[in-house]
Amino acid sequence: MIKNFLIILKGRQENRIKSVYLSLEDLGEAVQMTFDTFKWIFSGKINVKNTIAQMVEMGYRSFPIIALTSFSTGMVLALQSGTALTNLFNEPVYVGMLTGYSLVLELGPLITAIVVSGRVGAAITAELGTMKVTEQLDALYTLGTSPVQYLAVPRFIAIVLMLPLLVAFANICGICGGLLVSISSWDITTYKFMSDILDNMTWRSLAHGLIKSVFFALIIVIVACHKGFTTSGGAEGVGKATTSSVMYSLVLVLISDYFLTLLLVALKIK
Amino acid sequence: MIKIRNLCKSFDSRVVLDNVSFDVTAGETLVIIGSSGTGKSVLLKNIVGLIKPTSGSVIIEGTDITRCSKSQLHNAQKKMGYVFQEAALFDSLTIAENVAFGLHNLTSLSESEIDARVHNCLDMVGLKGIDTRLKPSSISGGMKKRVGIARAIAYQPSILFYDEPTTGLDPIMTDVISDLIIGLREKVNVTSIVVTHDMKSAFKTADRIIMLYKGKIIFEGTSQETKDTDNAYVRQFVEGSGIGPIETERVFTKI
Repeated sequence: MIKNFLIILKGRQENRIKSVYLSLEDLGEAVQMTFDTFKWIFSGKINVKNTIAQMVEMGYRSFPIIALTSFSTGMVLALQSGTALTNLFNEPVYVGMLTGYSLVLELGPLITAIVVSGRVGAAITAELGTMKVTEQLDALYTLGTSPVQYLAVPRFIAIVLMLPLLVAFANICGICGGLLVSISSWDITTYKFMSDILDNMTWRSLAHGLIKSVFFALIIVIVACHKGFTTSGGAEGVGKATTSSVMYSLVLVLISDYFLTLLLVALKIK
Repeated sequence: MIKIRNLCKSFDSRVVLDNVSFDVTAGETLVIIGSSGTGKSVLLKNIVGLIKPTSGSVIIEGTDITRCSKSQLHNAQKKMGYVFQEAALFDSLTIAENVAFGLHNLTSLSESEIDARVHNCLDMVGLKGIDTRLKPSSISGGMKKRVGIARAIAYQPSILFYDEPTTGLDPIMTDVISDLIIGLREKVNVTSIVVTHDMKSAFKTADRIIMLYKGKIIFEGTSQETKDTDNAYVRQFVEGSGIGPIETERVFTKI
C-alpha cells in the first residue's frame, strides 16, 4: 500500500515538474516571438498593406462596440455617482468630475482592453491557430517568409496604434453618456458638467490612461499571437487556444492595470 | 545533392524516425512509400527544415540545414518547393495571389512577368481558364491541390518535395500530375522527393523507391526492383493486401 502511495506521489511530482517545464518553455517562446517581432519592426521590413488592413479590422471595426460599451458605462457612472452624491450632500455635486476621472484614468482603457481582447485577441488567435493546424504557417516558411514578419508584425503595429485611439474615443463616448444622464436625471447643465471635468483634469490624466492602453495592447497581441502560433490539435485545438488566449490576456491586463497605476501615480502621471 | 545521415526524430518518447540515411542525386525522382503514420511526412519536413531532427544531419548542396544559421537556412529554402498534403493555401489570398506569393518574395520579376508565370503554372496543372480572383474556399479539394502544386513550382525551385500530391485527385488528374513531375525532371532537371501511397503514380514517376516502416528504411530499389522484390512488407504494400506482416502490427476488431 505504501509502495503504491509512493508511486502515485512520484507520478504527481513528475507531472508537476513537467507542467512547470512546459510553462517555462511557453514563456520562453513568447519572449522569443516578441523579440523577433521588435527585430523585424526596427529592421523596417514592414508590410504596409497588411498593417493598414489590420488597423481597419482592429480599430475601425471595433468603434461601434466600443461606442456602445463606453456610452452605457458613462450613463451608469453618472447615474450611480449622482445617486450616491445626492445621498451624501443632498445634491448631485461633482458628477462631471467623478464620471470624467473614472473614465479617463481607469474605465476607458480597461473596458476598451477587455472588449478588444475579446473581439480582436480572439480573432488573432483563431486565425493564426487555423493557419497553424492547416500547415499555412509551414507554407509561409517554405515560400521564404517568416510568419512573425508577415503575420505578427502588422498585428503588433496595428493594435499598438489603434488601442490608444479607441481609448480616446471611448472616453469621449463615455463622457457623452454621462452628460446625457446628468442633464436628464440631475438637471446639471452642459457647461457645469464639462467645467467640472476640464477644471480638474490635466494632460497628465489623459496620458495616464493612454500609456496604460499601450501596455494593454502589447499584452493582448503578444498573448494572442503566441497562442495562435503554438496551436495544435485541429479544430478542437483552435477552440482551446482561443479561449485560453482571451483568458490569459484578461488576467494579465487586470493584474498589470494595478501595477501600472501604481507606477504612473508614483511618477506623478495622474 | 541531398544527403540524409543517421536522421532520428522523436516526439516525447515516441520514435518516429530511426537512423534514416539515404542520398538523392541531382535530377533524380525519389519516391518514399509506407503505411500511414510511418514518418514519411515527418521525414520530408525534417529535410526542408520545418522540423528540427533529434539527431543526424540533412545536407543540401553542401549545407547542413540542421546546424546552419537562419540566413543559410533561408537561402537553402529558396531552392526548395513544397507541395503540402492538404495544399495549405492561404485562405485570405486569391488563387493568383497564392501562386504569386513565392514569386514576390523569392524573385525580382516584374508584375507582368509574375502574372504571366502564374497563368503558365496554372495551365501546367490543368487549371487553364480558372477565375484567379477566387479564394481557396470557393474551389474543390482537387483544385486546391493543383493550385498548391502551381504555387510550389512557380518560382522554379531546383528541389521539389511532394507530400501525397495525388491524394484526392481523380485518375486522369493523377496521371497529369505524374506527367508534370516527370516533365519537370526531364525539362529543367528538377530533383524531386515524392511521398505517396499511390503505387501507379510511384512506379511511373520514380527513379528510385524507398519504403519506410516504423521509422526505418526497409527497402530501396528502382520501380522494377520494387515490383519484383520478395520483401514481404513491400509486396503487401504494393499489392494493397490486408494480409501480411504489416497487418500483424495493427489492431483490428475481429468481426
